[in-house]
Amino acid sequence: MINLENISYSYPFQSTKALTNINLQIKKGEAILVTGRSGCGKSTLGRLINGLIPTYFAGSLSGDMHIAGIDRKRHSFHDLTGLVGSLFQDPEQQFLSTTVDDELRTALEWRGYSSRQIDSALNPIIEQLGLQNKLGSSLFTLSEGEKQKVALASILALKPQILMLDEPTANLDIDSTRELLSILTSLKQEGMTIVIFDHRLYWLRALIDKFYLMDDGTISESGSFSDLEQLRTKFGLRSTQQAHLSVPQLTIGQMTQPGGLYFDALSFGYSGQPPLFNNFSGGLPQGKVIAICGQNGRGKTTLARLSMGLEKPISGNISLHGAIQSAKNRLQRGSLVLQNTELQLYMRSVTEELQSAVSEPDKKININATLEQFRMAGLQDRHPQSLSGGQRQRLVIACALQKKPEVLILDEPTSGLDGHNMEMIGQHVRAEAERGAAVALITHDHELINNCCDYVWTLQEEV
Amino acid sequence: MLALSGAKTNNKRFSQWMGNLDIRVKVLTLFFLSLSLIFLKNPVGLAFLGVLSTVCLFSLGKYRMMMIIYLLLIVTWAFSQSLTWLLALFIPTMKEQTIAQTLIPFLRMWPLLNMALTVSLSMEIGNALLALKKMRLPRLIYLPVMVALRFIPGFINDIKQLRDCLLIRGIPLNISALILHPNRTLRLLIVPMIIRALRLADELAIAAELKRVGYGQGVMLEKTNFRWADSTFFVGAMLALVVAWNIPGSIVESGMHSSIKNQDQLQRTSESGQQ
Repeated sequence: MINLENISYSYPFQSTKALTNINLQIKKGEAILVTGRSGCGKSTLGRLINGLIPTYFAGSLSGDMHIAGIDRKRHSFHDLTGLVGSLFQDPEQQFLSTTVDDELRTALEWRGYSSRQIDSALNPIIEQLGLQNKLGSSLFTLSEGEKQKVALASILALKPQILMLDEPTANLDIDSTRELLSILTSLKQEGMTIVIFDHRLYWLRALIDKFYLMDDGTISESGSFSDLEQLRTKFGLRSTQQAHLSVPQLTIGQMTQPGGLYFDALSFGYSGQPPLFNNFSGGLPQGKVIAICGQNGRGKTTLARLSMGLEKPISGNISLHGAIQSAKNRLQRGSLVLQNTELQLYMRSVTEELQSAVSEPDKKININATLEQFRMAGLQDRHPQSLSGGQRQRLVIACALQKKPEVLILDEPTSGLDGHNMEMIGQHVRAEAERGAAVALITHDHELINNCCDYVWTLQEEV
Repeated sequence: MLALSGAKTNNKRFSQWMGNLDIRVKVLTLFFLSLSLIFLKNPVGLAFLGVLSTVCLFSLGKYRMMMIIYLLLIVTWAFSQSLTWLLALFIPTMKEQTIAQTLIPFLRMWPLLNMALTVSLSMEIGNALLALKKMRLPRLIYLPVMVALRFIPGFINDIKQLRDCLLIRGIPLNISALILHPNRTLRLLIVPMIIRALRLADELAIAAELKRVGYGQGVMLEKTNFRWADSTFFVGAMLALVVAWNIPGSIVESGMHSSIKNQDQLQRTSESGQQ
């Protein structure tokens, strides 16, 4: 189904090769995992299989490539779009419409299908993925899991022979991950070839037939899932076992300690929507790392925004170390790292970016040591926006720590990070708590929670 | 999701009638209104259209936004009038420029702004895209408009997020920062926005290509009819235009050119009188 022979590729204006001498054979109906460290070339290999290389990413490509029986040298990108379906890490990236029904129909409409043909193609898929009650919904009101199902349904409607998934569980909670696994298992049973590019491994145990481990642009190891465990330490992989939470729940007593951040009888809701918090009380104790969990859409990020004064509560107070603080004060004394790293980097170089984040402008920091700590040595002069997703994420966190915040909140800090980097972020977070900061991580990642958190705070449906 | 107001919706029943109208009717009304405003020179007719369009915008319940926009219009007009008086000290022909003449461009802007805002703020993106499909526009027009409509809210959201990120980093985003540190403030704003816009453009192009949008046989469409409310609104709007054209009032030319023309006419009249 996929046959790559001696493939080498380098991106435009780059002297080093992103892929070197790749040989890969995937049979029809196989489920394959491609994993490896951040920046090892997984995404590049994915772009090669779904045809974005060389159509969108020109560069220098050599070797032979046959995808679903067609020779890439003789066929265009559009010949591939019907054969390979790609599910991106953020499904919203691939939406062209705004409602579920319209999104599902768009690709078929552009292929000239009549309304009746579209219905007959879509109905079984809608039923299989359980989207019947969501057809009239706006795509922007769906949970991450639902968005992923919609993106998957619109791909499956085109009947591709190969399904490619890029870090499909990066933003999913445990239930949604389980549901995705069940869908992929039934697709595999129907004979679909599945290629998954992911750092998170535990959920794939029952699905995959073979893994390919990439390192520095080459395939360095391959084998069955059980072989992955012994390669974990050497290649910085995430756990192959499902991590069960070993961290206790945060109690009311711990929340109400005098140090740290405290929400007192807080009420908040977005305009025209039901309230997210109604007379809500709780807090982040000083010197502890708290994992804030809860279903997608429960209000975890909103709580972080309220903490930093980016949203104004309808009623209630927010205090720091026992004293009620204004929004401006909380913003000055805290740090919040959001998921959109592109919008959090402004300077011309990594050095300037780190220096600009220091609260006292005259204080010089040791840039080299900081970059070393965050595994970014040698990137001093790079433009921050030219870094990879994982590197940007680490730089944004490094900038947030320069402020020496009294409250530190990180929103999904490990999506897209490999095992080594996850552990490194965990160590920094622990160090901040030991310094005396109240630290919160908004995450679904049980491995990270077990690694560095003291307590779990689960936001319930009704507060 | 609304086109220019992010995800916020107005749940008041009074505000919903505009949103329920067919987008094609609203766009056509805006088109005919714009066309009329180019040629209409009667201040009474323009004011009549201004009042009617204000009712439409008022129905959306965006009172604060209306107040700011009207205030801006008044301030701009006052500025323009002050400049006219100032120029009149050096250019004698400018003395002929009446208040009605400087008012005319603003009377034109008033209904146009009202209607443009009414259309954009009452339009759900999903319905707008469907309506554009129904209009059977050529792909060359449909695709860019669809892309713009689909991604305007996302881009506005990015700007809001950028503002938040700057605040978190302790960088205020206000007029004084722009005046005191223009280079720094602009770079902080522009660099992430350009990068985000370029990435968004790439993502969109890839998403469209994967769906074969713009290729293949194209879209087959089913016919959809207007409802009586749509027809009533459109007929009412066209009648209002007819009334505005025929309402009693004087024709006023606007701008400096008209003052010079008036001066020439006066001179010619006085010369012919002398002869």
